[in-house]
Amino acid sequence: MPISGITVTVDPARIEEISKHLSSEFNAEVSAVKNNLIVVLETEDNKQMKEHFEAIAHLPGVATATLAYYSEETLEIS
Amino acid sequence: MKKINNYLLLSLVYLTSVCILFIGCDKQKNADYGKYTRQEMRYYAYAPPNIPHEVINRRCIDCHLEGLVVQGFRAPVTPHPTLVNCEQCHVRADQTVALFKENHFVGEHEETSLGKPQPAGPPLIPHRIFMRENCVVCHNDSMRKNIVQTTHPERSNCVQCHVAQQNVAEASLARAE
Amino acid sequence: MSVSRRDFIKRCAATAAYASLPLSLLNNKELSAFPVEGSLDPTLTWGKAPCRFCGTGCGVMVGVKDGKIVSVAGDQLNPVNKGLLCIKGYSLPSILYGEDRLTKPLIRNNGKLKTASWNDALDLVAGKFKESIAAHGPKSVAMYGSGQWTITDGYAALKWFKGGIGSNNVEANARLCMASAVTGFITTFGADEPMGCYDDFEKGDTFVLWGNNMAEMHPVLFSRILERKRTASWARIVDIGTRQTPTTEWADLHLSMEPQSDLAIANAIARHIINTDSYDKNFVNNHTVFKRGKENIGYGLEDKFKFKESAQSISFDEYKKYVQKYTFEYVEEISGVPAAKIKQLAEIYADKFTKVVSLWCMGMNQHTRGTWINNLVYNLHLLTGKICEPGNNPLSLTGQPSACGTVREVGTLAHRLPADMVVMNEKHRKKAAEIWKVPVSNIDPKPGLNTVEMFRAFDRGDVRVMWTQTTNPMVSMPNLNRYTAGAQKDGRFLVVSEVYPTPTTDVADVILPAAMWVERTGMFGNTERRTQQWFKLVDPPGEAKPDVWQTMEVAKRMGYGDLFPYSEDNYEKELFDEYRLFTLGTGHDLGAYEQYVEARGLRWPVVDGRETPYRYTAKYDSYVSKGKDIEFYSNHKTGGKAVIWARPYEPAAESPDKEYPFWLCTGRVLEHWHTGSMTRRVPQLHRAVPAAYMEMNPTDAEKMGVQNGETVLVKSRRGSQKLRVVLNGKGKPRPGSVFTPFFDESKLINQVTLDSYCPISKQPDYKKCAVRIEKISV
Repeated sequence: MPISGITVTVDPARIEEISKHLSSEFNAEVSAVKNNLIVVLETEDNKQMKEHFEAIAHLPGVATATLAYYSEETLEIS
Repeated sequence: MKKINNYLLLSLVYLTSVCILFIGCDKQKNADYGKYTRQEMRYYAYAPPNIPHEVINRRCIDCHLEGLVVQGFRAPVTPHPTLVNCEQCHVRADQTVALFKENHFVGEHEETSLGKPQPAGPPLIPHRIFMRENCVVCHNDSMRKNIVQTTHPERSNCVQCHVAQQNVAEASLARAE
Repeated sequence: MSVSRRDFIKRCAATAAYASLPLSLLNNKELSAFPVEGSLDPTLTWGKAPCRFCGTGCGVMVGVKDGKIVSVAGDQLNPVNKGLLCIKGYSLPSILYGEDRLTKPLIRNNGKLKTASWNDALDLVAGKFKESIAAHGPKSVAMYGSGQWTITDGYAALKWFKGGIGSNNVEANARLCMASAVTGFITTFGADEPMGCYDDFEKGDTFVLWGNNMAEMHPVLFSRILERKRTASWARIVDIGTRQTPTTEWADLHLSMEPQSDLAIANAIARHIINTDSYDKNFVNNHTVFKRGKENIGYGLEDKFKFKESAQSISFDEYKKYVQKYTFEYVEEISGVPAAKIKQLAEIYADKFTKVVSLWCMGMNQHTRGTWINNLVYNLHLLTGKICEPGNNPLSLTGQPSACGTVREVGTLAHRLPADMVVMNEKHRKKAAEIWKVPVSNIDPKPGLNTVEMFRAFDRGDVRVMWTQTTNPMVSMPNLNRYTAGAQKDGRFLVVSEVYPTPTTDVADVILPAAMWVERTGMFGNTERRTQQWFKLVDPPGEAKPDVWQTMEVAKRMGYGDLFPYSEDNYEKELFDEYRLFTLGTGHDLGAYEQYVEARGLRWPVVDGRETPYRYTAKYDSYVSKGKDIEFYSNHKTGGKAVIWARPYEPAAESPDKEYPFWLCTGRVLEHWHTGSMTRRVPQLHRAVPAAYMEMNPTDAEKMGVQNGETVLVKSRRGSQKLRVVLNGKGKPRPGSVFTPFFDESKLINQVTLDSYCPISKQPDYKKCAVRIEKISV
């Protein structure tokens, strides 16, 4: 279950729109700092993480998406 | 008679080819490979490097796509091979040409090293990465005398550990695989 | 992973992302509140601005330290260039710092220049204007501005001259660059400026370049085309030109044509579209009308040349008959392009499924039939309906950074007012008078002198006082010898606002030092109708001041103070706010100033705060009437329809003959901007191309026994220049043609060119005149 932290720079006019889109479509935790979004993504596997990342980077209104943190551990059932 | 003629012919051919060789190499005389520091090659940190050699043909990719070695120097591999109109940004500024007027511009260059946040950890990336996302072009080329070389070229996802000071590398997950 | 560990990891992720954000962003309150792109050096102060150079309008981030520009980066947030620049853009930091920057006003007395105070200089200029107007009337003074003027520079000059003095002698160097594009738009669509935008580069299938060297002249846009080719394997580039250029190397199809024959080629394509039934019947019926104008219209060679169009409506069948003579074989004879190639190009336009973007610049505009060739390329898109949708558009590329934003939109031309209005129209004059709060009788209904006529009048003495700003006519005017001599005659007074000494300041009576680019707040408007704003980031050197300030100061000293009641530290915004009033409700609507401060530009019309990427189509443009899908709503005369013009091929003003057997074409190189006053002072650009030269076709050179690197004399009926021949340069002319760039003030090629112009647009033809080449005996 990989988890990643991503900074996303967006067009300020669309920050709300994109925040909402990210939290609904990608099930991400999103917080905004000025015009950057801090996005925490959790996915099933690496492949999905890659797809999500590419999708986010190519959203209209997104200038850059940068990977800041990436962690992968196997799931324990506790 | 015939033998002497043959000899003369042969020597003529030999001399001519030697001359051609020298003339051909002469063309490289105006080349300054590997001589300049990163700062001298560009006006300021974010400017594209000037071409330090005479442009003989305009097929830059022949040398700069895979890093052909010429006269003991490796042609820098382009970090952005998808941008193919090279001359749009890279010009040959022949340093021997006299100026029209002087210019007082002083460019800002980046730090060449920012050290390590922890002694045992990875060093920070001191420079902007935009259009320079292919780290190994410079950092895994032993012919680059003044650029720090990686001790672990087998680890390909550089930005997993090395971060730029103000922003983590603009590398996507795709490059990690 | 237990839930709490998962939370912990997520917190780590968020913290790491947060920690990577830029630290301090802005420490200058004047800079935009919009945050700076993350990976820029945080020890510098950064501000956004459009590039100072071409009509592409790339966004740059300017890095300032200790009051000087020390760095520039492509603005990754700007949709025009997305962080990419060309070498001129990368050279922006140094253009401000040439050693001989003008810093003080200078007045020429007995041939010698002496420094003066602003007060003395401005008083002198105002005095000269007043004197001339009193003795000889408002038609005796003239203002010659620039497509590199900011919006407020142009607006202040316009208001002063047309609303105050009552003279329509306001022109700009964009007359030499875009006038044919303007008249092409107005005669075809009823309104100026493109209906498409740069988004077309990512959607088009075939890009047809009509006589423009995009790889050197709009390199960042060309990069977008190359990227399109790379990602869409079917994308193609067609290069039509009179010379092979770096662009040709990327082209999939190259049509090497005789100068002027573009008129015939376009007609041949139209004929093919109609004959093969490939025209869009619905579109043609619903959205176009057919017209035919005057023919054999002259070349503007005589002083006071006049032209008045008289057009008649024709039917589709009459138009069809009209183009029949342009068979591929006939056009091959005129153009030298093999008939099969013309047919290949025609099939690209005719093919229903190929999205075509036609692109052009000086090849079509600097043309004695510039308006016609613009009409003819529009015809191809109108006949096929390949217009007003993404990827399918004719896109007229602009040369200068604000030929659109200032000259065309503000209306700094002899017949114009803002927002496409004209002085000849009473309603338009009334509206201007209302906004300017002047009596409508102040505005002269008779158009003033166009640029070439203006300089001719200066030569004859009908114009006595001229003020040029941000332009270099004593290098760029065609048939230059006449106009340089004219400017120096007795009784002429020339005021020049400039940043560096140039051949124009060399003949000036007063030189006023100007602030450059980010040394003042300003706005530009680019090719795709994108208006962009920037704040002042560094101080100008010495006593240099913005053009707009200079204009207002002189106007005030002439008694026009109430035209300029703006505050000293906010006049840029106040001028813009007032100018904006002209645009609201017209289809040229501009947004609020604050929007431009925030955004990376906005494409007008800006309606309800939103920009319009595509005009005339209901999907994107709110001005289209309800119920219509496409409407050229500014064309009132035709009821919202575009005009398909029947235009013939006519020869050039001066074709090669026995005595002068070569075509001379002039143009630019990537590294230098126009007359070189800025770029030649940048060491790396100067060293890349230090001097002007003449490109010659190797076969011609061999015939004449001319070697590569040899200096020859190129001579016309008007003048001559000694130039070094280049046979293996970036470009290769056709046999019978030569090419010289005009950036070198020590090699004034315009002494050789001809001041013929398109009778409709009044734009000179710098691409065609007849010369001979003479070997110089040592």
